[in-house]
Amino acid sequence: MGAFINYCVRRLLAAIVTLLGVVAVLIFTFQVLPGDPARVIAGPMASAEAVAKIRDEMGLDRSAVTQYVEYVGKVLRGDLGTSPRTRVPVLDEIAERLPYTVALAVLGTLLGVILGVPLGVVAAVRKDRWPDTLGSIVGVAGISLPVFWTGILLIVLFAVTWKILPAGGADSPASYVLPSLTLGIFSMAIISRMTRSTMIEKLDEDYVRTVRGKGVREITATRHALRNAAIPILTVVSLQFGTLLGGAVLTEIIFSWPGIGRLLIESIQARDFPMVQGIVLIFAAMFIVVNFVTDILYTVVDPRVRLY
Amino acid sequence: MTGMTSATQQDPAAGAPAPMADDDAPAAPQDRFLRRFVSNRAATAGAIVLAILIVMALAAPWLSSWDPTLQDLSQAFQKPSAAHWLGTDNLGRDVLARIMYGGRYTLLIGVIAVAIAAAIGVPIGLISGYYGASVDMVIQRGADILLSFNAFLLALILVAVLGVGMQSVTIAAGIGVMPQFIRIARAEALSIRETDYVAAAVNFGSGSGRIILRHVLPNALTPVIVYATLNIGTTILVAAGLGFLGLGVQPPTPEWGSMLGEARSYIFHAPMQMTFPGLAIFLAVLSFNLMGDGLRDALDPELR
Repeated sequence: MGAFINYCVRRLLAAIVTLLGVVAVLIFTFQVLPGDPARVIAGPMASAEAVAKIRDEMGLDRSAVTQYVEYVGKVLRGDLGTSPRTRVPVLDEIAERLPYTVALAVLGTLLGVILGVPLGVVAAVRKDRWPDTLGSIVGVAGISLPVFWTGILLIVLFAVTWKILPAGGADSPASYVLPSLTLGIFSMAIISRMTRSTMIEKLDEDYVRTVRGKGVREITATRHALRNAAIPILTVVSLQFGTLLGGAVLTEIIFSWPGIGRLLIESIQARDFPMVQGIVLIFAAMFIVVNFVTDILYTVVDPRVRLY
Repeated sequence: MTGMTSATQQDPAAGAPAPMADDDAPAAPQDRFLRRFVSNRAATAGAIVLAILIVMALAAPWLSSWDPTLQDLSQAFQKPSAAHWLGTDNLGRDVLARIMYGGRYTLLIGVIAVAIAAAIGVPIGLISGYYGASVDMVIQRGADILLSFNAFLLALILVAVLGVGMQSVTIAAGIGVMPQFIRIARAEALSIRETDYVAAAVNFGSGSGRIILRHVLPNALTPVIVYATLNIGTTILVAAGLGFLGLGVQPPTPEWGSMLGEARSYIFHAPMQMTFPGLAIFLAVLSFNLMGDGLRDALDPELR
């Protein structure tokens, strides 16, 4: 048990170091940004003093290292700055809209697992026969579809032509269907491809052959293989979560979804840098937390995994 | 259960754990590789579709008599006809001509961005894997940081900094997918480092730089090329996504992503306008993915 806690602490430290690195990249990137953020925020009519005041308030005249230390200090106190565009604290605005993005990402991943794992298993069990061919076509087509096109096609079909689902917004449970499906199709494709190749490998291993040799039904052998394929599948589910968040940005734009993805794009267009920094930090933190939890889950799912 | 063994008997080399041990093969490895690739119908189909898209992009001025940026508002939102095979857009421009010329931008961005990603990521990854120890640790933590942004977000931030336009998008998309190349090259370097020929080179007194250049790089190249091919599709999606958001190649340039972005405003009025740019992106990405899968399977038949 001590070793397990030791492992958790080490993984946690690594996650924190990564997050500090993310902040460094963000500060550095916006330091080299062309144009004067203070001038943009103050507006074209502002006096030189007003611009200087904003620059001072935002700490833009200080060195990158000073800005970094101050930003990290503020983040630790739960302060991501104030949006010059909306005059609202960045964290408040994010807190209000984050649940919508999380809901979308979770529903998308869930759909991906529910559709993708069975598809991959069936393809592996019926390797080189028609279910495999069909599964492979669905998989490769799914990862090749641009999410922004899938989303638009779903709107044209379900909202414009058949008029059975809303085209955007998040006003009713029905409005969750199309955005979740858009992300779910993409997620399903990645998960089914990974499940197939992992299952093919596991179905060929000695313990599965032994079980087969005992004359059990094929479904039992498949179950044995699937239990051991769980870890690689879990890895893909957690790694594709980051890609899913990227896809969520585009999906939110298409469906006028009130999440932080759309807020990010609006903030980039309005050059609202404190907001952009805050949102990107939250996205990266979500990815890092999901991967941290996955790492810990490994040791629970498979006691053999002890990477210390 | 008799059917079980057939899969493992197809290829006698399949059980060998050593990567690409072709020493005993009767035919030259390249021939076997080519034969396996060509016999893969999906990969061949991908190559053919891609070839068609490339020819359409290169020969656009001869294949279409329409100027892709010529506006004629009296001809806006035309349905497909003999004059305009794929109809016209909101400004009366010929959609087919725009798709053909657009391929020049979308395909080129994909290929150049991946070349940028490989040119930066592969040397860093090889150094990381070959030297190991603290060098490896520092580089890998750096890669972790970049990977936690994911390709699209990383490209998005870079575009916010670099500004919009073809050049920015290409660089942004390239750096967005670059961290993956560090990982792939590192994994290759880790295994190549343990081979006998590297040990021999060390014994003969070759320097590390020379060994990486002469031995590690050439042997890591094939998996990197496979990965790069699979990655061109992803990169096209990233760049087209930026174009779609209005942060990529700017109108009136007919890049497929920004064409979709323009068409989005007319989703209720003229849903047809979004069909073809989206289809073009889908087909291009699909063909790179099919070819990448084919290359991977041909190199490593175990995975089939």
